[in-house]
Amino acid sequence: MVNPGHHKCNHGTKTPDLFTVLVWGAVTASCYAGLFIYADDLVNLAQTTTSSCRVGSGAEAEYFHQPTPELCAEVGGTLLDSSKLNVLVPIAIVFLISYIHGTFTSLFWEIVGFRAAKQK
Amino acid sequence: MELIQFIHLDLTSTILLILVGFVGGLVSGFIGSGGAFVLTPAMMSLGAPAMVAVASNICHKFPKALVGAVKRHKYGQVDIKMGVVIGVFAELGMLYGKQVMTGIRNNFGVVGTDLYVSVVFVVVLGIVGGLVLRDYFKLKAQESQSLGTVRDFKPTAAARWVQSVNIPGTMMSFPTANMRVSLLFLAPIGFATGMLAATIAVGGFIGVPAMIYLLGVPAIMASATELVIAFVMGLGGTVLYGLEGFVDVRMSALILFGSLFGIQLGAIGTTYIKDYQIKLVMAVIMLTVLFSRIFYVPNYLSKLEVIAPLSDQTMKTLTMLGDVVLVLALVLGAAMVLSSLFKGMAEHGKSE
Repeated sequence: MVNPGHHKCNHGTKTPDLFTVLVWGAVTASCYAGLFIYADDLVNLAQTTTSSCRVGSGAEAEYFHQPTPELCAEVGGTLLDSSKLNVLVPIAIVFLISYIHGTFTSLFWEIVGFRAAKQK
Repeated sequence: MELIQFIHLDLTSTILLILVGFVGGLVSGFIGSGGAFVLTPAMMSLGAPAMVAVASNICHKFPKALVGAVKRHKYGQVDIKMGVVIGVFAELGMLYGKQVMTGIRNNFGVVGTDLYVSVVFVVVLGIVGGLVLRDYFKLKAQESQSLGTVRDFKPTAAARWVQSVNIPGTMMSFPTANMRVSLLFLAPIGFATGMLAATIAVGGFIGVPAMIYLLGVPAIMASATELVIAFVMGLGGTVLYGLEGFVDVRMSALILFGSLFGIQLGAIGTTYIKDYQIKLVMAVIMLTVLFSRIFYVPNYLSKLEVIAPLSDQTMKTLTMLGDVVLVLALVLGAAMVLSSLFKGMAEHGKSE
């Protein structure tokens, strides 16, 4: 991974500057904030990758897989439209977080002072 | 119709997932792979069904594997060709492993898959944990006899035989690992790795030892090449499980949060210690997690009516005992890794 602001400290001689660390920290925090704000939508997206029946709404919603219209009606639920393309959403999210947060943690441990032992 | 409930994320479960991710990452970074043997049971203990725990775990792992593979490729430690070839067979193993899981779910429900995952965990951790512990005692004894020459890598007799077999039409050359091996040996290793990964979200327990002991790949290259395999099959596994709606990306992301901090700290820790110390940490954690899973098995058996029904109180007590031992494994693992790191840094500081 290309680590912006990190390349110069790979060999444990220089510490990354605080501003760079803070910027990457802020971007990382925004990513996680977004994840919490849209948590219910993300659950809904995951559950509607396959055919499902939802009972209730929001954080309290329950999802049943492999539903039939009769069984879904019996539990008072709603049959949801599904799309296989939803599967791309978690993949894109973890890639993005991995890159952004990975860069931040690497800089974070450097600035805190944890470095690998030098090659003997 | 079946209820697939993602866990409710409150403050406690969020913090726990981050902490568990951190310890999982710490362990992964320290022993090369296998944070999943901490993560999958922990997610199940927080209430995630086994399929969701395995799927979300696989989803958090593959981008990390890619990042690691790219880094270690720069150091010349990765045999990409071998990783991709084994990875493709691992993908097939994963497909089959997932079929097995789906079959169990359709026949015995979610409790069936919970039981299956727990039993596989107990068996695999028992065998591999025991072997690793034996290896630790052997290497430690060797080191005390020969004053620290255990780092030299010699292929096992099995590996020398595998490399000497020539089956026309199936031979493949791997320039980075500097060997020629028949595809017929790579295929079952990949298949078994993938099948295990689909079941407990960690295939490295088969892949890495198989590459070292059966193919004769040096340990450092085996653990690096495993990252390519993990990426190939992790991406495939996420798509497979995701298509059935089992990937809880909130859980994957929270684990990734803790894990990305832990994995780097764990990796830094490895630069301060001896190889066999890694094996001790690995064995201790594996065997403690194994012990925790044993407590859950009677509950699953009771729910499936395989054994006489247990009282609610007994089930609660067993679950609590399992949870306590799991927490102990996590704390123990984190403490061992961190103490190695701090001790190593202090000694390193003195010697400079």
